Amino acid sequence: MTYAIQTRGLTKFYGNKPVVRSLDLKVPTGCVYGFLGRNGAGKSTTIKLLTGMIHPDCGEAEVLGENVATLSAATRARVAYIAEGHPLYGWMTINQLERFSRPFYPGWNRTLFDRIIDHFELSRQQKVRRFSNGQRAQVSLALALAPDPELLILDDPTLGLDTVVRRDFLESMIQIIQREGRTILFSSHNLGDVERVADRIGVLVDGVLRVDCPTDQFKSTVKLVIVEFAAGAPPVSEFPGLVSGLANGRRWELVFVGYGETQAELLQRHKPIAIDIVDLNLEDAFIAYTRGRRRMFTNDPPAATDPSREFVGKT
Amino acid sequence: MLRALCIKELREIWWLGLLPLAFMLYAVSDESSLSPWLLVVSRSLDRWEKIPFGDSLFALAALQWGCLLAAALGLWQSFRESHSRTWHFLLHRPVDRQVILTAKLFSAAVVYLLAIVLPVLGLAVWAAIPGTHASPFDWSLTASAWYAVSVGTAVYLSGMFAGLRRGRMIGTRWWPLVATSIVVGATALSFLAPATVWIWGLLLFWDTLLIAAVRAELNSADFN
Repeated sequence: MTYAIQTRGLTKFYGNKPVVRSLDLKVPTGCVYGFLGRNGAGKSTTIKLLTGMIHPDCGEAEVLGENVATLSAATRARVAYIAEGHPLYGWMTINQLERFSRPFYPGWNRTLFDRIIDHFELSRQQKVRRFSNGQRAQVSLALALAPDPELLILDDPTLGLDTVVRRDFLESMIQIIQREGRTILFSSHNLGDVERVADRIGVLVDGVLRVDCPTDQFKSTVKLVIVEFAAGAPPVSEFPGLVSGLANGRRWELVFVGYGETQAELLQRHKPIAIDIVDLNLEDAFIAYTRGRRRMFTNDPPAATDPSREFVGKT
Repeated sequence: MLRALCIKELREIWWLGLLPLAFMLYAVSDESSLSPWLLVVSRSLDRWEKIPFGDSLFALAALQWGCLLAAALGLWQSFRESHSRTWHFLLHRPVDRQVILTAKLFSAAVVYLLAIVLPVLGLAVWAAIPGTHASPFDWSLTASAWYAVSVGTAVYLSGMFAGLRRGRMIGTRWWPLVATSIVVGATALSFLAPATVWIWGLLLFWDTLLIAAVRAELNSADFN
């Protein structure tokens, strides 16, 4: 298997605080990879490391087989990057932006660019600063796609867009982008977007990649287990694979990664009257996974090496 | 690519040269006594007697407006990209970062040439033409003005460097400009005596250091 993005031990500190810690990320070629994490988890920092906007303190990153630190112009031309907030030159019109960008890319597809601009019904003579957030996102998308890139790195492309614009943006993006061999890495806070689009996800928690697996596998492996007791529920015990747990009245609400016979047997020892296993959608699974036991069990944050929090699945 | 970058830069900075150009034209007209306005109001003040480059006032005007423009250009070209977060857009263009820097330097040089250098050159050429004014002229008289104009290179580069680098503590971002001010101040004697080789040498050395610093910063800085 070839990887469009590969990092080894990528680490970045801001001051004394590690923002990205020993990140080993592999994004297979042709994959739509949803990069998830809470605010401050290190998603944007990772993306900036991958695009060479910032430099790692340790480790290295490769995109399209080339080290980011020495990325050639030719390889950079094969990578599209939409930064968070869609920074563009506000004084330029769409026509001026195209005239500025076109000379950098030998494979600039003017027809595609025009098609995207027409699709979004954007005025070519209007200055970018007069556009709404959604329209700037659309311009960014058109500029990113016109060079026909092999890899797209999108940093929260739907941030700040309302529901309708976001849905339209994503559908257009997928419709236009999807072709064989093209890889997309995008970060998002919106789990619905990721669920709709990504075929693989990575979850960053405090700068550490805790999940890296196909989206369906993550959803199917993270389960909510509701355990009913005849009397008041005892304090939640430790179980293998337990991500979070809450004792609530006469029941436990437990979230497991990889719930199976072992866990079921251990639960039976507490003599419950019923055990219900509930499938979670991606958003619920993500919330349970990233919120974790720091909220449910105790005030102590989970250890960085806590094995129950590691979930790196196979393709 | 370089052309696209230069056009973009020029469109962003051309207006910064307008005010210094206006003041430089005023200084030139004052120095040459050619201003129609001065013809009317200054006749009684014996402004006709002024010798072009005869004192250091014109050089000081060039120094003042040159430094202001140079600092504004350097800071604007770097701070503006940071403030609007367009470094991410610009630096992801598939081109070496040194080409981006070259475009910025070239565009700033064009504005600086038009606003500061050209008026000085125009005055010098006019003064060198026999019969244009009733005073002797030698090109060595213009040395102070040329030095004043050249100082702008160091101020521009230190402004660019200050805009690129991340301050570690309050105010430390401005050290390059402070250091350049000290260098310029140390060489201010050139306005009292003809500019000497060591002064030009010092300026050249300082410019070289600043270019190396700007290049290194552009390659190694984190653009958040």
